[in-house]
Amino acid sequence: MSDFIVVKDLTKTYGSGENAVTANKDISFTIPKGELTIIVGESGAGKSTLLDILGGMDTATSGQVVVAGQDLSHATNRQLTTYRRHEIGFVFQFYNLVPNLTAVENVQLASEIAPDALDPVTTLQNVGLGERLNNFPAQLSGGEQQRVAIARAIAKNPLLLLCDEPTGALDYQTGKHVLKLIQDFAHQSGKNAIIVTHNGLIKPMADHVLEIVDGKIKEESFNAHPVSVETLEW
Amino acid sequence: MTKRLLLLNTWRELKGSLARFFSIAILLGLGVFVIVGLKSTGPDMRETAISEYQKENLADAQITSPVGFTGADQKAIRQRSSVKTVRFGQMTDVQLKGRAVRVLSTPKTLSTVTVVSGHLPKKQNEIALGTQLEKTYRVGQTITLDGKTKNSKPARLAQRRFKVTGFVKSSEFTRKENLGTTSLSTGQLTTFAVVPKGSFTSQTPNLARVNFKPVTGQAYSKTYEDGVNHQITEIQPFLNHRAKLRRNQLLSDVNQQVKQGQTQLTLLTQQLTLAGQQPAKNQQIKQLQKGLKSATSQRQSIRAITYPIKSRNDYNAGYSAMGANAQRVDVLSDSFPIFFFAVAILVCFTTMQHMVAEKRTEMGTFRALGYSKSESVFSFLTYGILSAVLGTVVGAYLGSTFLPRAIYRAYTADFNYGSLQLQTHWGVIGVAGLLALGCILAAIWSSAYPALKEQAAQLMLPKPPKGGSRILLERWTWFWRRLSFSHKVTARNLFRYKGRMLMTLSGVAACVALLITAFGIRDSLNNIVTVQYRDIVHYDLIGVYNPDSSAKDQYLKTAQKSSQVKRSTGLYTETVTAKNSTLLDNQSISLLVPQNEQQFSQQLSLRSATTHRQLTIPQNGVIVTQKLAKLFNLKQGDTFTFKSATGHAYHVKVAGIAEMYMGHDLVMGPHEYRRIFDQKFVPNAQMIQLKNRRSATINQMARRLTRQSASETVVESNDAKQMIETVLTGLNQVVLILIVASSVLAFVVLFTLTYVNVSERIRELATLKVLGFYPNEVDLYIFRETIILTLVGILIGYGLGDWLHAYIMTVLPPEMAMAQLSLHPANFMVSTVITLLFLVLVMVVMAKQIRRIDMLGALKSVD
Repeated sequence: MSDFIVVKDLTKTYGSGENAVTANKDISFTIPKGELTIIVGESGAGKSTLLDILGGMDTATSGQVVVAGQDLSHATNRQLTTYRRHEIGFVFQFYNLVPNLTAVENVQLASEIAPDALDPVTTLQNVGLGERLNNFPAQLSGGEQQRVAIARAIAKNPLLLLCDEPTGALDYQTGKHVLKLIQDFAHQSGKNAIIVTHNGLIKPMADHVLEIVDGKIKEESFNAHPVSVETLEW
Repeated sequence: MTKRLLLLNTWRELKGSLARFFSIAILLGLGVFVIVGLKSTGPDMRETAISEYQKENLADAQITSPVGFTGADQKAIRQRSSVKTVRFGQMTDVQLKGRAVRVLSTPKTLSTVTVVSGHLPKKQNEIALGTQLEKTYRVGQTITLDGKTKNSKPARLAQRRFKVTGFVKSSEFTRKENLGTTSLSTGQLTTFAVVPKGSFTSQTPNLARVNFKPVTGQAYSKTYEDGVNHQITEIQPFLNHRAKLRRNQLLSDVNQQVKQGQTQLTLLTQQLTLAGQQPAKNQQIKQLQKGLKSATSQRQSIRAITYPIKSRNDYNAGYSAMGANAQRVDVLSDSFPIFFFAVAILVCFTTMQHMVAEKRTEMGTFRALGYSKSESVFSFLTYGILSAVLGTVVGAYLGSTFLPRAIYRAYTADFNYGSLQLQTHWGVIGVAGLLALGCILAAIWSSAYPALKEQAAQLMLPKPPKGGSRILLERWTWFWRRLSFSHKVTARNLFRYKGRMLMTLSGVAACVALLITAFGIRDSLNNIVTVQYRDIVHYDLIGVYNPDSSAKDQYLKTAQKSSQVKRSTGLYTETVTAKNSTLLDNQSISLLVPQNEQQFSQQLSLRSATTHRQLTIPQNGVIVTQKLAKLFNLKQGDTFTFKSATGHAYHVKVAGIAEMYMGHDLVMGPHEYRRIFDQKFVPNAQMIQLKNRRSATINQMARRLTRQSASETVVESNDAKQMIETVLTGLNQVVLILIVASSVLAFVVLFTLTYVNVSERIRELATLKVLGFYPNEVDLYIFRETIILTLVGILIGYGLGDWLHAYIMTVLPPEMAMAQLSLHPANFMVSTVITLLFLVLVMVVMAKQIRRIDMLGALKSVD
């Protein structure tokens, strides 16, 4: 199995001189193709920074990041945008839907620009929102909005789905539902998904877990048999 | 401590949003600048003129007499109860190297002169010239004056050679050229001069300057002008009576002479019959016969003697021109800046509202920390008030100084008034400042008040984003389905913020309208000259002569047969006046009675004002020109009343209204003339068109005519042209300032509204960036809305501009002029291009701003 993501000696420093803050320090790891990865850590540990760099929203100060054969450490802004456009789906804690577009239109917003996009309506049906296609975000619950956000990310048919605290603003049951969607994406399509969370209790659902403390990888573990989200309790 | 922190917070806020702070300040500043500027200029101009009138004690009215005032006349005028002061003086028109100069006896109390250099003349052979000739002559130089013809002695002066002792200015002659009409040279005075009383041969004064007792109010005010006009109407019959007495006396003198002469003649003839041929006696008889003949013509001219009295507006060309100029600015100040100010206020209101809405969470935090409501809004209040005060102070300062000066300089290019007396018009500044401040406070209040009523906890939560909704356009499925996805998004977004949509539309529309109007004003005024002198007026000058003069034939020969003359037509002309209660001044009207209609139509095209078809001069009734009809609200069939120079009223029936852009004419046929005036029709003028129509040639012809002894005066058709060109130069300057101000307004409006739009939707834009939209796609996502709104705004602006221009062009031209209301396609094009240019500029600036949006920060934060 070839390595889908290779990160080598990644360091990310914000600011300079005395004010410099190091978010990631000499991080190295590899992620094989088709994995659901969870990056877990306390807030401020540097996990989100890592995710942003993997998603081409930020660049490393030093070190090498290669995703799907593309070297992100030396990419231009334009190349990073194309990378996001074609390969990446993002899900955030706050759903960031465009308020003036209906659920299906929010998904279209993404599918319109991706080359191998999935059908927006089918995608929404797959996340269980077949009945709410034409509702505006304000008319949807938090969980429904997050599902639209996931549909929007998936509809681009990305190689990599990146989720930053996707359940942070949701209640327990809804959160579970959302995690299930992400897990299904990785396991059913054979693509990669990475979830960043501070909740260590969901680790068993992943194939691969990276624990980050103070910007460094403290522990890396693999689950040969990840459990289904339904059976998890936290 | 609290205050310090609040101030610190405000200061940071201000530093962080300098662009918005200055946008608000500039918008309000521009509004205040234009309104204060235009409102101040008129009063400042008048005040400047008034202070000169007061300094030189300019007379309310002038009475003239061609034969001078007798002692009895003087006493009678002095004793009139309405006369406060009367001063009698001398005047005569002379030529100085071909220039017409009015020589006055130095006035001592009324309408005094101000010495600019040198000193006043003291000896009989000394003279002080008007500053108009300051560059041509110098103090100490000796000059030689001519009368009607070269090398002839000027009338009423004892000598021809004078030594220049100095240069003077007078508020009776404030213009730099064309100071008034004269019978000499080109028909227009170049300057004036003062000499001691002793320089005149006769001690009978022919000029009386009068100040009225019951007249109050400042010059140019309605009270004053109406007061003077009323006094003039009151005193005119008395003067007519004095003139009649004088005529009778002169006539009886002449009759006496004639009687003596006739007796002598009879005697001589008898002697001759008795004594046979005697050469000496024959000579005597011939002389007597000649004398008798001249007595007959003398009688004719005695019958024409009147004592006309004229108010400042009528005797002083500069006075009325200055008043009219100031009034033009007043008129402009009543429409243009109000429109302008409204747009500025509207846009400020939106911006400020938006700012408060943006700071909702901050307000919540303050409330949660236990700050009072007023402390929670302290930073917006300070921010808003600061920008309003900054805008008002700068705008009011520039509006009170720069704008009036610039307009005044343009307007007084042809005047001799001193430098502009700037005044601070606290009333206007106060109102404009309060409106500016009120707008800011209202915006803050309307946005913060509902928020402050909420619980602090709720305030700290982000305001739920404005929910989306379907738009009406979606019902039209046929159309909606054909739109691309991005266009659907644009359409939805356009209607999402209806307030801002309307604001952008009205802002852009108003700016385009202002630009169109400003350009249109300039073109319409320039057009007056073109149409007037290409399509309507074809003659170059009118030579007025004395039909009773024995040299009449010589005059006609010059007027008709000179080599430069292309065609020449006989007519009767006289200047009559009319006034109604809404007009400040008497309207001066040229009465034209053509001898031959066919020939006349080659000199002056009488075209119907509505159909442009040729009008024929009717048997009964008169043709009046368009602006006159408008001022007096005349329609075909109405009766129009005018007054002759002696104040006698005549009533005529309007048979047609003719197109005319400059000056008022009243045309009637000889038949109607005989009926109205009960007088024989005798032509007294020649309307002349020259082969070469350059003004040098026209002046040369005018001089040839005025040298004729039968000549009364000449009127050049381009006198009116020069006048409108003076007005134009002034207005062009004003309009240029308005164009610049409108352009800046257009830019700031577009910038502010786009800025608000972008900053309100940063999260949305960040989402697009994360999704992988390329920069130009992100830009277009938001600019598509701006572009559509701007384009629609421009279209609305066309309609609005057309209306505003028509309105301003109806009220702007002076009473004696009229403008065409049509706009050139170029006006629309230039205004559109300017607006689009600003749009591009705004988009370039905002694109940079959008590129700088930090997508991570925007997406991961709560608000």
